[in-house]
Amino acid sequence: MDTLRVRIYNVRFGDAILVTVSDGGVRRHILIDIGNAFLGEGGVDSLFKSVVEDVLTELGGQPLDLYVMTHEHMDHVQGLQYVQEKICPAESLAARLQVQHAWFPASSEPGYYERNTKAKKKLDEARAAYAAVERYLQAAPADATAWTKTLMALNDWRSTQKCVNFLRGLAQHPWYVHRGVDLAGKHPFQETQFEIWAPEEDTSIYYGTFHPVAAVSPERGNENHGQNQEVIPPPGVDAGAFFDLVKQRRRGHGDNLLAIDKAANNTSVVFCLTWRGHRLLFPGDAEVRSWQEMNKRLALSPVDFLKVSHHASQTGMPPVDILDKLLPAGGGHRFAAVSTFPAADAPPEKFVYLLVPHPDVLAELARRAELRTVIGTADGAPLDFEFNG
Amino acid sequence: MKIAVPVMIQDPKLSGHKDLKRIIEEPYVEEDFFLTGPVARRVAVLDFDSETGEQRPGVPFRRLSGERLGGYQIADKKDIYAADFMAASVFGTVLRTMYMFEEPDTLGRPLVWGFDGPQLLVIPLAGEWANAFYDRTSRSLQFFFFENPQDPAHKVYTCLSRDIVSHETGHAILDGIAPRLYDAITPESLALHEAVADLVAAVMSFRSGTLCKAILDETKGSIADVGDFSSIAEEFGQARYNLGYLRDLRNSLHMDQVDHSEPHALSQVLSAALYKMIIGMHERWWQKFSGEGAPLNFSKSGKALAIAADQFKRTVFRALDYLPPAEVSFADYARAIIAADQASHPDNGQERQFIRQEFVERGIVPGPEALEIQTNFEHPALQALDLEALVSSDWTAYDFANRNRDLLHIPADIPFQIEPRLDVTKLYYHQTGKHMVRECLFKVWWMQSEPNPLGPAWPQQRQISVGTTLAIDWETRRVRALLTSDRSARPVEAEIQRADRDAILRRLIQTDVLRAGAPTPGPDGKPISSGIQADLSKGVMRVRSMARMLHMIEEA
Repeated sequence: MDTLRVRIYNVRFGDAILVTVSDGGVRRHILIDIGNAFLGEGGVDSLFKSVVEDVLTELGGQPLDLYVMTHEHMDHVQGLQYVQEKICPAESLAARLQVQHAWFPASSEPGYYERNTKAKKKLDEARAAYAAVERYLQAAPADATAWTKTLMALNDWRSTQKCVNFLRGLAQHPWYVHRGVDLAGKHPFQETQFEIWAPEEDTSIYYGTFHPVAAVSPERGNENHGQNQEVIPPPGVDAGAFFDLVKQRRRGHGDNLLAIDKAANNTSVVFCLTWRGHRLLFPGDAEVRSWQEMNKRLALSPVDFLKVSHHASQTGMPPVDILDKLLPAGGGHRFAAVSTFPAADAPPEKFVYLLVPHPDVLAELARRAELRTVIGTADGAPLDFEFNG
Repeated sequence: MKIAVPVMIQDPKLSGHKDLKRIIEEPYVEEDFFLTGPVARRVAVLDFDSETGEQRPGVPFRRLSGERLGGYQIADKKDIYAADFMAASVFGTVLRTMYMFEEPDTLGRPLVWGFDGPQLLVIPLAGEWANAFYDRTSRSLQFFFFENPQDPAHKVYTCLSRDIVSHETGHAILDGIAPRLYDAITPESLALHEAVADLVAAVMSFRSGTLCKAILDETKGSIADVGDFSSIAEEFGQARYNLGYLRDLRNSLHMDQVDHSEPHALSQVLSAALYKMIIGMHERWWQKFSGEGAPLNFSKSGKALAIAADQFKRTVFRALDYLPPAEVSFADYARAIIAADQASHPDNGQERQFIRQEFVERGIVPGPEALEIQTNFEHPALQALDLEALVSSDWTAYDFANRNRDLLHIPADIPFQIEPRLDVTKLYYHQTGKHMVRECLFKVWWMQSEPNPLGPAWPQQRQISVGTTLAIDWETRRVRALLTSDRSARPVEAEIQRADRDAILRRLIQTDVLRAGAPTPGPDGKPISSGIQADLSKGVMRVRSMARMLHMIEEA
């Protein structure tokens, strides 16, 4: 019997997914992201060796039909470049993988920001905000919490740019996709159908507002080091109000980092694959903003498989009314797959944005589908889901 | 103590960065003390270096002995881009804007802020950003600067725009007069904040003799087709959007043409409806001074404009005292304007007629009957009322409200809050001369629940504030005005406002701005401060600080 198999590799905090399907009698493959990026134990890179080896074994010398880079975050893009540079620098990974087609978000296309001035403005604001946070953390290193460092690493656009350029170079035919794009000629599949649900072509809609954060003098330290003697209320100025104001002006780099991270997540390529009546949804790290946009623009309907977005965080979870459309309770057997690594190095009550996997998310998914996760499996080990055709 | 302070009266670009006489005035400000900063009891300017975060020494204040006026020691009064000039200019503009509201014919009393504290902090150079804002939590006005792609040689400093400074000061002042608007989720309430702030900027322009003279000279006396007063923040608009303004108060927008979930867009309908009034006022005074039926005399135009500006100021700002102390609509504001005008000028209904007509034409109200309001009537509850006790005793005030729930539209058996009562005396101009009118302003508000159809992830009910203002003539004990935002008798208005609240909340949810529950820490361990917070308690939602979205320009 023909099958479609989704293989999710345990890459700790990241995604690496291989879809293998019998398509019109031909065995074809889709590779979705390979990467991880987490400080500490979530970001072990050596496991990519076994992952890529397994991918190549599954390909059996045949070209990789389609590679999908969902979005420009290190935990989705850095794996293949790591393998090329650190594991097999003497061999051409491009020659071994023979990537035929590759999909990237529309905003990854060279020249995109010259054509889309609103998105360019937002990108410039985001990069300026990132640079301001960098300067702030250099001046006030005690404010660089583990979470702050994580988000800085994930969103370092200079590093992700290198990875994206590498991935672009792997593919014979790189394509830049968005909702509404015509996919004819952009993949070799005959009976398997694809729908791009997100992102919108104009990615400016996914950006929030970046607020300027007051500079901190590097010589004087920061407010976390006891009494802040850096600035003193001038005579006649209400001291309580003054210090509250100083504190308020220094707040904001956490907000800005979140806004940068969310914008990148919300530009994820979200695609639905349909094969012989089975519908599978791969949403990358799409967050609430993206889900809301999809719900506004599309007639969402149930899927049989959901790769849970953003590593089972709260913000990657579709709102309940949207989830009711995708995984309706009591609507037949469905799968929900989680690729994540528990954030063991932070107390759960802090920074819920990156509390992954979020227990409420897992509980809700378990109510609606057979929930399976890579947690507890060996590094690089596959978690398979099979659908018969 | 009285001193002169240089203030910008027009955006620098409009003078070609040259003719400074045209764009700077040196009005007087009077406070009980001035310190280096500038710092006074009610306003303090803080100059931070935006690159390093260092606090710069303020502008020194030099005291002089005897009758001589002291002043701030600005190194070069022609260098408008120097930090000391900017600090002095923004200080003077904030104070002059406050004084306008405190004049006897406007509110007739010292302002109080919407926050708990005496002093508004002002940062003229808060950082690089194309924006400016008032923030209640930090008790501050913050002005930013940005690169001008149209003119890279000159950055745009929002603190140098009198329009922008007056506008943000207007927000701070209105927050003290009507603090409940800050938490309002009714889009028209937020839009009212914006419209009033824009009108503050416009009126401040009219009060500049230098500017008025220059413009009237160019236009041969008319203001009908001139954008200098109505165009808000010209340099900002030019740099950011390649337009001659950020907003133009001359427009013919109808409520059907604007997005009801976007307060800035909504505000333009209200501010334009009211701005049109001053054009008519000016033309009537100009004709009167030129002689009825005679050709308009250019030499009378300036005097006519000064009087019209004052009349306009009284009309739109005095009414703020009559606003119900709760979420309000444009119609509530119109009723407050009409009530304030009618109570004092019962026989001259020209301005009231204009407002009714204009508000109907722009679709703000369905018909003129929506703006009919009774004023100057007797009520038995007030006849023997001890007004001194009502003002000074919270218990007396509470007891009065509790026993007169029907009068005040307070539903039975629900708790309510009483605002501090105001004993105010205002100057009114009648055909017979000037009159001082003393009144007691009694304001009461309560929370009301309504359905919250935002989806299963949100509580089924939400709360909004509802309130009533009772203005009592101190001498006669008659009701000068009774205005309520209770919509029991106005079901159509109620439905429109409720639908608009649904729309704005949905928009905030969709753009991931509205956050529910307790504030969570961000990656830096500090509470996430962006976004709008909704408190959830026992199945009811209450949104806080919606006005934080009211910056000078729309946010994404």
